[in-house]
Amino acid sequence: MDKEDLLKKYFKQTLSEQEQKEFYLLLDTDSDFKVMFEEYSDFNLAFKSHEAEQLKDFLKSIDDQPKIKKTVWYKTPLFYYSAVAILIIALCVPFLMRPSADSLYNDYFDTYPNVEQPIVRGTVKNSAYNAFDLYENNRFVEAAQKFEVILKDTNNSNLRFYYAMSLLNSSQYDLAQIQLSELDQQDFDYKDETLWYLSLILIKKKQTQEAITKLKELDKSNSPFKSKERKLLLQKL
Amino acid sequence: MVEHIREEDLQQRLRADDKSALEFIYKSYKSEFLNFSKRYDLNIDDALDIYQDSVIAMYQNFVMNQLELSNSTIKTYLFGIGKHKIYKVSNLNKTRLKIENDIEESEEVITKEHQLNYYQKQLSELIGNISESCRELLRLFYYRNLTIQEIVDLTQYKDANTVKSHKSRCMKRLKSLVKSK
Repeated sequence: MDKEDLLKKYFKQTLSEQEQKEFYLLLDTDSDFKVMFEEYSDFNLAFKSHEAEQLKDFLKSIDDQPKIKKTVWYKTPLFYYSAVAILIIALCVPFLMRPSADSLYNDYFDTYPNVEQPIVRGTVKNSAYNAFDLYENNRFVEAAQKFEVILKDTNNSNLRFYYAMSLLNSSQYDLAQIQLSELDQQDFDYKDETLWYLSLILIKKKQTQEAITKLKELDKSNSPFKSKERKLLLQKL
Repeated sequence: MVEHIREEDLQQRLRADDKSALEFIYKSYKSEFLNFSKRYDLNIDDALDIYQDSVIAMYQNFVMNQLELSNSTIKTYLFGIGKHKIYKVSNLNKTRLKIENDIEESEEVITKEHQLNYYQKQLSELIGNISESCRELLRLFYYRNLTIQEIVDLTQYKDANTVKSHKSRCMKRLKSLVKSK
């Protein structure tokens, strides 16, 4: 066998038994072969060592590689932005969905009935008769005028309340508020009703905290008047 | 069957000095080996160092000796090398070392580690100073143990004589570098 082939087989560790005998015989007897072997061995081991260092650096570089992050849907920027947007919208919903002052007023306002002097057959036609008649017939502007005239001669809180109701039903909110605020200082038959309608005017004027105060004042009196509506209204404010 | 084909394919690629196959093997068994090494009270840095040296020893056996594993897998072979390296690093005798039966004992896993003499060390250090073409040619001949004809077949050299003459010049260049040092 060729000497170089023998060397190759030796370093590949693939020598057969017979080739091994031949190899070691040459190594003992052939000085040229011995030189060849030693030179091959020197270069083989030198390259093995050099390559091992290169491979070590290569393996370290694999560990140093930035890990490619597996982007899952819930870690994408789009998800975060969407989540933030949804959160903001969710937080704003109560505000966005909060009914307007006008709609709250319209939802809860109703004309207070004439319980002071119902117009029935045989009703005594006193000075207030025409005013209440107009009030019952939803002619609130005229009713307010009549009540105003009457109140110039007599300071009747009950009639003043209906004067205020006439003003309110004719959308004269500021004037109605003045009358109700004056009545609020008094203790009279329509005290609870006064607080209720005063709070509705405050809601319409977007004076929410003042309205809440009036409604809570009504709560403290344990008044049955508009008790369910009061509770609902307070939740919405 | 697929696993078997893939195993053979991987071995073939390792013998052909395919670095991508090396990277695949390295990544595939790293975590498992580091967990395995925890049994021997090694710190993570030592365990990783041993794993890298084991992968290198395994790879060099494929490249230099054209290793063909017929009775074991690459993983078993690699872990076998690693186990022996752990044994050496741990400096424990075999009775104290808990060698598990899940790794086959085999003589072929005991890789030869030669201490380089002074001349060999100088050669190794100066390999980086010769031209790339020289380095690659000598590498193919002395490291991959390819024959002259195999080098001709694998490279752009036109014939065996060209390879021989180029190789001769490259060896002289490297030897002269050692002498001049």
